[in-house]
Amino acid sequence: MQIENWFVHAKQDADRQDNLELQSLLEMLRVATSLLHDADWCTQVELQPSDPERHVATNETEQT
Amino acid sequence: MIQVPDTPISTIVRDLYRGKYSSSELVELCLSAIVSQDPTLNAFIAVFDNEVRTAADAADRAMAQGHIKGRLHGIPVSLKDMLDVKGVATTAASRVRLGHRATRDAVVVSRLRAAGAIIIGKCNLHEFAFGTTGEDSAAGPTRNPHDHERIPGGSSSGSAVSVASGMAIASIGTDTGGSIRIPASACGVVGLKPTFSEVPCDGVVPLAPTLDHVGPLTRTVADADLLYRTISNKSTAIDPSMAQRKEETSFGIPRSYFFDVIDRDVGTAFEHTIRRLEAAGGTVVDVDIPHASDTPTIYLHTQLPEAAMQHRKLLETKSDEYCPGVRTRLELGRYVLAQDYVLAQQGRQVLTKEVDDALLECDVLLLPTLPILPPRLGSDTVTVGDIADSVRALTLRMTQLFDLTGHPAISLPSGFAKGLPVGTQLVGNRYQTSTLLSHATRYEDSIRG
Repeated sequence: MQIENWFVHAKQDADRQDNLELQSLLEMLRVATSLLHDADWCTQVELQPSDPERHVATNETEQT
Repeated sequence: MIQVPDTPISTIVRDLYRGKYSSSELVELCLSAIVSQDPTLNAFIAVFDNEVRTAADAADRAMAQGHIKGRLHGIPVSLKDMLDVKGVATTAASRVRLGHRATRDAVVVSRLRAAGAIIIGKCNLHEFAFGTTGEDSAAGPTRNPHDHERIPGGSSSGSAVSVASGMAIASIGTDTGGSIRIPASACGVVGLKPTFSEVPCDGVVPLAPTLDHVGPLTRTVADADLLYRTISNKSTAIDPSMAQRKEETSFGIPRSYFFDVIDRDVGTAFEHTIRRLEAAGGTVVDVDIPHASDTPTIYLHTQLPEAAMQHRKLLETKSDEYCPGVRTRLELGRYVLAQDYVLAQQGRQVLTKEVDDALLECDVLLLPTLPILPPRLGSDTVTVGDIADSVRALTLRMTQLFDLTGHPAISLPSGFAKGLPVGTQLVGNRYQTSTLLSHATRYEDSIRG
């Protein structure tokens, strides 16, 4: 699930509870989660193993 | 009537032994301070008057016969009400825990008692330690002893206030994002967060188990060292390599991120601290923690889901009994995806290595404990320069990184700005808390100013 889709669901959930503070905090969490996904170490960890000789298979890059 | 002795605990115990005063007199001084000041400051949730007097009398009788139980013989110590004391409620400052009774002492409490400490009472806190102001509590807000209209910092608010106002000689708090160091700074006392896992959390109400630390709040670094050795079961007083060390300490300042948002008066006070450290022979270098700015988001994606997990059952059954602000944040944790929690743990590894690397270039890191002066009670945001940010984000800014990485950190009082205490934080290598304390001891007078 795309992160934006997840937060649409989360906001709908908060709306149902009629909790304004939770709605506001969810927006803060959405921004923070985007920052987490954009962190350069996050990309490095996923796609660039520190040892180039080491073959790291990921579900995103493996072709069968 | 004697005054609360303005000397280290080791000296007080020596004076007790010499008969200069008694533990009973010491305890009466603390109880008297509680009676006169606590109606305003609200630092205590429970005071064990009768038990304390009985214990002090027993300590005096033992001392008279030449028996010293341990390094804290006859010393009144307060506890954040997150630690179990057998037969007493551990309220965590929450209505949620109404009716609780602890069936045994927390390990830390057992160790304090074995060293001769007298548990004087249990201190107020931000509910479940989930907040940095000390305002959200079923027992009502705690107030800063230096300005009653300002926050004392939290979450170990009552612990810091009890020590700062002479209601206890020392206290034990917990620190998940800065909850020992923040109130220590705001109230002008010493607060130590040891290395992660050095002090057992058994019998301590959890907030976020991979971040939770237990540590002392005291009047001096020597007292912090004494309490730390007691609750971590360590016997040596000082790192042996430090005892013979001739060269002065090098202090590394991580300028980027930490100094991007800082109150002008706090910044000025910190620059004065640097000058005093240099005048005392210390060297100061700039160091870099390249991903320090990722700290808040990594912290958020770690602390929120762990706290939500701890409270999942109570949120189902007793949701209405939480303070509203705490409840909403706990509910927020349910919306963090598992994949993002795992990602945040990878981020912690990156940050941990970067703090380790920064400490290769210096002996200890040096930075303010808080980027702002203690705000007024009820403040949601504080403006620093042109930037308005939440009190929570600002108060966690300097401290939460070291809960993520587990490095030991200590906050020392370093003077006042506008009549309010300012704290300076030293950070050491992991599993070298004693070495950190040695550096802090050596420069304590210079940092205090």
